[in-house]
Amino acid sequence: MSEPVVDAGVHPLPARPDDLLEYLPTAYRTRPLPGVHRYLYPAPTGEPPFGEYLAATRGGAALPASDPSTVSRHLASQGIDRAVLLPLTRGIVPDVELGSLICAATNDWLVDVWLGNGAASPFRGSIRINPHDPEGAVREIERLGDHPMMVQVAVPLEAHSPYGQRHYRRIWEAAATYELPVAIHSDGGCGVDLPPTPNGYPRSYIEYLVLMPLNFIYHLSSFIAEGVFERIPGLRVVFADGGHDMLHPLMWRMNEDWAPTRMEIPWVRRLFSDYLPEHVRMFTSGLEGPIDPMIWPDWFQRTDGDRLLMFASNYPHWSATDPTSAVAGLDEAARRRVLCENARDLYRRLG
Amino acid sequence: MSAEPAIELAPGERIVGCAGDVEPGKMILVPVGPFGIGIFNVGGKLYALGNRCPHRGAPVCRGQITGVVVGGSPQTLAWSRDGEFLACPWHAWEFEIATGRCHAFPDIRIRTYGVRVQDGVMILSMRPAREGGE
Repeated sequence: MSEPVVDAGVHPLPARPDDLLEYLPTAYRTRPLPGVHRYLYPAPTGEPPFGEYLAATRGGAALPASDPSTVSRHLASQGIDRAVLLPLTRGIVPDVELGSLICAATNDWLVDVWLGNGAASPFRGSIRINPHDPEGAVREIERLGDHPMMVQVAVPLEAHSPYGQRHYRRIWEAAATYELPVAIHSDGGCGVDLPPTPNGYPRSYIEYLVLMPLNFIYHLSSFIAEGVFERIPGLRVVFADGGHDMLHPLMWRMNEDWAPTRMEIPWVRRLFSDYLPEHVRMFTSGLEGPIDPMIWPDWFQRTDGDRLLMFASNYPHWSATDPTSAVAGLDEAARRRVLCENARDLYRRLG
Repeated sequence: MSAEPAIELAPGERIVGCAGDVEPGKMILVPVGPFGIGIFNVGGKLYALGNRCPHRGAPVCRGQITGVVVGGSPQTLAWSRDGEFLACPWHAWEFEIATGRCHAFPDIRIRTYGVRVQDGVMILSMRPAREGGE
């Protein structure tokens, strides 16, 4: 790679599942937290208990991607000089306060273990917030929004209502005030989440893997139809489970009958797809791209990939991708956009 | 013998009716040109629009004369400019009668024509005042 690569999605874990407890208020330290291995759709990829993760990251007493120096070496070996850490919180918990405290503990742990080495460090952080607690979420953004190593706010893809709806709005306003994009990534845990598809629970991991990321479209259409991007011009949303290959056909559908139905949503002033360049970015995903690699550059170009896509490895998950394969077949300018420039344009604090 | 009032027509103009033929809030369709031209009376002013929707070619002038919904805060709906818009009968795209301009896509217009009244007759100019565009 000619230029340093930005990896927009790395998922660090605590060394031991209970490490987060020490970051919780004393009154909550006896509470069981959602376990790292409590998971409805475990990936059938290897030996338990680490089937979720790349073979090279398994083994040893500590969880994968829990040691900053190991992760740092891995990134350097791939030509990556900045990585946005996006820790998962393992599903929606029914106790709203506990949910917010898990987010705050995750943030404090991230600052403590991963973000202490100053601007030369490859790591930048995400502020986890609990969207089901809008007041607490705003407080958490205000608490950490000025932290120089935090580059975005992160929420689960799983939600109890689409993210454009009004009870979330002050959260997005707070994120925009601090010029922090909002990353939406599946938590993949086992909380009180709605089923991963609108028709219920699929049987197998492969169905979950393919279908779950498509939930982004419900949030995206909600953001647009509710006029959130009109109200909060500074809001940037990152769909961090991919789905770019499905984005444009879905936009065609939304564009087609917007004009005759716009009287229902007059605050939407443009075609749905016209909001994408200004407000939406998508992570690359190993699932995407046609089997015939000759088709890919053309599809990439027609679907505005060089503006919308950012490379994210998804490390240390078993389905992680590397920078080279993420941009195979693309020309040099497009490679630079996807591997570096789009992320640097979006995340102003990468350093 | 009383003198007939002399009406001078410019090139492309033709007499299409009497001044009172189109009542306020109404439209008459004049069978001229390939699609016909609708003459609308919006609050006493006359406007002429080609009877072809720039979206999919529908006979747009036969649509409903209406207003537009605008957004209030927070997310309330308000009715605005009643009688100043035309909704296409096929896909309900809304067009401003005065300009032919589509409300959703301002770059798209219905072709407009000049219409005037002189000495009690209504005179339509067959030269487009503005090309419709897609």
